[in-house]
Amino acid sequence: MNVDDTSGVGDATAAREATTTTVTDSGLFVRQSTGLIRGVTPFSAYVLNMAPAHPTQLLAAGFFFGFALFPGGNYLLALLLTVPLVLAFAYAFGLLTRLMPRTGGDYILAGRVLHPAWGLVSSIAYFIASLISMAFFAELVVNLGIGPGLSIIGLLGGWHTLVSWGATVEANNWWKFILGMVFVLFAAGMQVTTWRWRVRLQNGLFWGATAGVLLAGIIALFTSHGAFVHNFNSFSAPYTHLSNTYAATIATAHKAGVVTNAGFSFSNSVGIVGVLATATIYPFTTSWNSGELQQAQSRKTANIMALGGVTPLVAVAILAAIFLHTFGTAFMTAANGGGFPAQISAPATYFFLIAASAHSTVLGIILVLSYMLYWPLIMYIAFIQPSRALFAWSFDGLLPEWVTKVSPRTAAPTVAIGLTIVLSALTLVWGLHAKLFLTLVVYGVLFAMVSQISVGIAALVVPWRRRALYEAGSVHGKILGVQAVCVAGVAAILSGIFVSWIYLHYPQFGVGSVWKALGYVAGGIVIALAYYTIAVAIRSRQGRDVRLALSEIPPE
Amino acid sequence: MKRAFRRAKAAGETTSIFFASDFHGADPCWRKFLGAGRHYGVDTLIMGGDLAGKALVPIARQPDGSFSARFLGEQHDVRGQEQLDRLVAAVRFNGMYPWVAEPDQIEKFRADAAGRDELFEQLILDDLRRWLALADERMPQYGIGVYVVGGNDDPWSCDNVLRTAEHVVACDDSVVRIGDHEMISCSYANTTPWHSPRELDEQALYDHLHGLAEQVEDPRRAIFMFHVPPFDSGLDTAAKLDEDLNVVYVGGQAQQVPVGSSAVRQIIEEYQPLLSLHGHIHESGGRAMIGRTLSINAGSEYSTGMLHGAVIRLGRDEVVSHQLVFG
Repeated sequence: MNVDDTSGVGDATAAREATTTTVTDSGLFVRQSTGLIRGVTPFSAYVLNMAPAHPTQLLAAGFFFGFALFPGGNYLLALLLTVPLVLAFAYAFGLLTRLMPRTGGDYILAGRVLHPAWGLVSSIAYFIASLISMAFFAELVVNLGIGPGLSIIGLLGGWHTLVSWGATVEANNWWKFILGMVFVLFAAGMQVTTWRWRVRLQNGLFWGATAGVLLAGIIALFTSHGAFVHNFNSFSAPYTHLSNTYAATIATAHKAGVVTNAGFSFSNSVGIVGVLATATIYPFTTSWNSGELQQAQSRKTANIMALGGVTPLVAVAILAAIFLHTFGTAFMTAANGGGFPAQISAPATYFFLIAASAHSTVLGIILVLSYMLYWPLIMYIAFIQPSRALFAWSFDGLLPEWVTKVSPRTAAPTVAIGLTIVLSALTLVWGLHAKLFLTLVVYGVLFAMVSQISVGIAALVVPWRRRALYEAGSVHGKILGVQAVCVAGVAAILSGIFVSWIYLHYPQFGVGSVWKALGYVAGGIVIALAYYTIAVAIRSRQGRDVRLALSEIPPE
Repeated sequence: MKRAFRRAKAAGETTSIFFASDFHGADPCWRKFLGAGRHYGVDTLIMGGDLAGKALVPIARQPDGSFSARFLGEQHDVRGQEQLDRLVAAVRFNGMYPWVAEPDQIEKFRADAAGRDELFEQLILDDLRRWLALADERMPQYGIGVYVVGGNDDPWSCDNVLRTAEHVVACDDSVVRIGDHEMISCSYANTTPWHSPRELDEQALYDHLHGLAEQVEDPRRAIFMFHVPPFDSGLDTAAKLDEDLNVVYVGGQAQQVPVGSSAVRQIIEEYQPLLSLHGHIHESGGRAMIGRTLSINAGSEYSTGMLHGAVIRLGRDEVVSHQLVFG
């Protein structure tokens, strides 16, 4: 018995027996034979899937920003509406990955089930989305991390030089580029280091970032609203010269047209789903790691994806309730809607407000550092798809062969990683000059939807397009008499369409012309198909038919 | 996809090969292997060992005429020949051997290790005969040569069955000619923690390979088809195991180490053949250059019915092109 087959046939302990064949717990007779598989433990897989929606980032940036963008939107309802979207994508990717373990990502899932050309379309779409995400994170790490972090520590400690540095790096594109690229390079470094160090770093960053948001949540839980208002006003007075900065923040926002006490709006609750979707609907990172995933063929694969998607939503719901109770909903809406006093040169993030309320420089430093640990983690995860996609395209002959070169020490695809660094840098330069980076991010999500809808279609049709694989596989579960994988596929398709509709429907996301946006996405698809066609023609002249790379061999 | 991709020979191409390995009893892999010749437009098929499956699924014939089995974590209860055939096909698809028997017979074999060994061998050989019969029936009409060796996981009795085939060349431990190229093959692996049927320590493996390589007239045009990949080539990375066969975890993760053969690497470095072909480490498929030698591990994903392989087009003195494929 071998470790390779623990997913399929039973338990590896059978191999320890002295006889040639043994009987597993599930009743199989197995022979001793060789074969091993790399291992991502369930916890590490969970971290990979959960990190894009980690509450640290969601609560520091997008979540409360959504309150100002969509007044009257109910965040609990929005979180609830996001759950089926998360589950749809988790199970579409997860069940297909169970059917095709030891493969990776949408390129293979869509390519094998639909068509190799469409696998490339899907992969390029997600590649674009990932590069935009990477550039977005590289800018946010300065705008929400380093800049405000320096300001917060400077404000709390009375070190005005730090406050000045914070303002400088936030205002200067060169600083943003340099500091953002430092984090991109760190993320790249995590890819080229040994597997052991990569996972240590990944999990260490996760725990570090999680500890900070939990600590802030616990402090907020034991801080009454009245105490917070009093402490915040006391902290702010030297800068704003106001006795009630708290009330002034709300008043300023009101004057700017921000509604802080709007009645319930279902429509705006849906709008908040769009804000949440920029981070929460990607719980399938391990799909690109399934080659290394232990028991990728087991139920755990899809369930870990679902768990990675849903737990951050639950955590955000609980922590948001605590923060809103302590800080006040009107205040958070106003502070994130432009009402926060400019004299306090830091955004109204939960960790700043907690540290300011506690008047504790040490706590501020701890919370800022913890928050900063999130960025290399999310950038490391955003880095996975592009570098692996470049490697896979090259492997299949769609890019020059030298792109597949790997480090002899760590087996990391060094050339693909280097190319991803260069492309991330170019995307960051582009993003820094874009009028509204959020709109660019929304375009990124629209491209990601091409990929996620493609996987949904693949899940829907796999029982027929890959009948033998489906019938012999282990995803035969049914929901109301319909194959579970088909249900997940339909749900993913509808979810992708729904998310796309939100971005195109609500002007707050800044997409502008719907047709222009759709044109960009359609253009991307056409370019990907054209690229595939050209690559086929060029390789054909070199004696290689790249159509063969993923085409199924008709069995005799 | 229909049988397509008919193609003219590339410039300089004299011989074309499809190489795959480690089918481990998976029916679709063997059938696709036989179909690969026409699909990829090659004239030679080479299978690099490990034909035998690893697991046997007992299917209990119940008193009420139904059949029940448990595999891939699911309980299967079927009734009638059609449903049974479907279950049997699903088991074979995953590289396991279906064994339909009475419940008390299954219970008896649970407790009888020697009986299980015999049963396993019988099923392995029966399936191999079935595979070879298919090859002998279909392949002559296409004019595509088929070369097969065992691997370290295959019982030696497989070789006797392989030698009975008419169209399939059992080429282990011998020199055969493929176009302008001599090919030597070796089914042995270096020692593994499982003590599989065909293992040698590195020195004995080197001596064995050296003896084979010395029989080749023109090593620089030769193909060395050794089941185990060369050590530390990137084609041999797998999880480290302790003496109890537990995966060694460091920092919560499986530690990755090269597990290939230093003897194979040394032979390749000394003789520098045109091409070396390997299998054995399923998750480490890929290609590497060892001096002037192109080394390929086809990899394997047998339990999904997906055939990993490599299409290689050779000139007299060069590898014209090579492509890793997943069919």
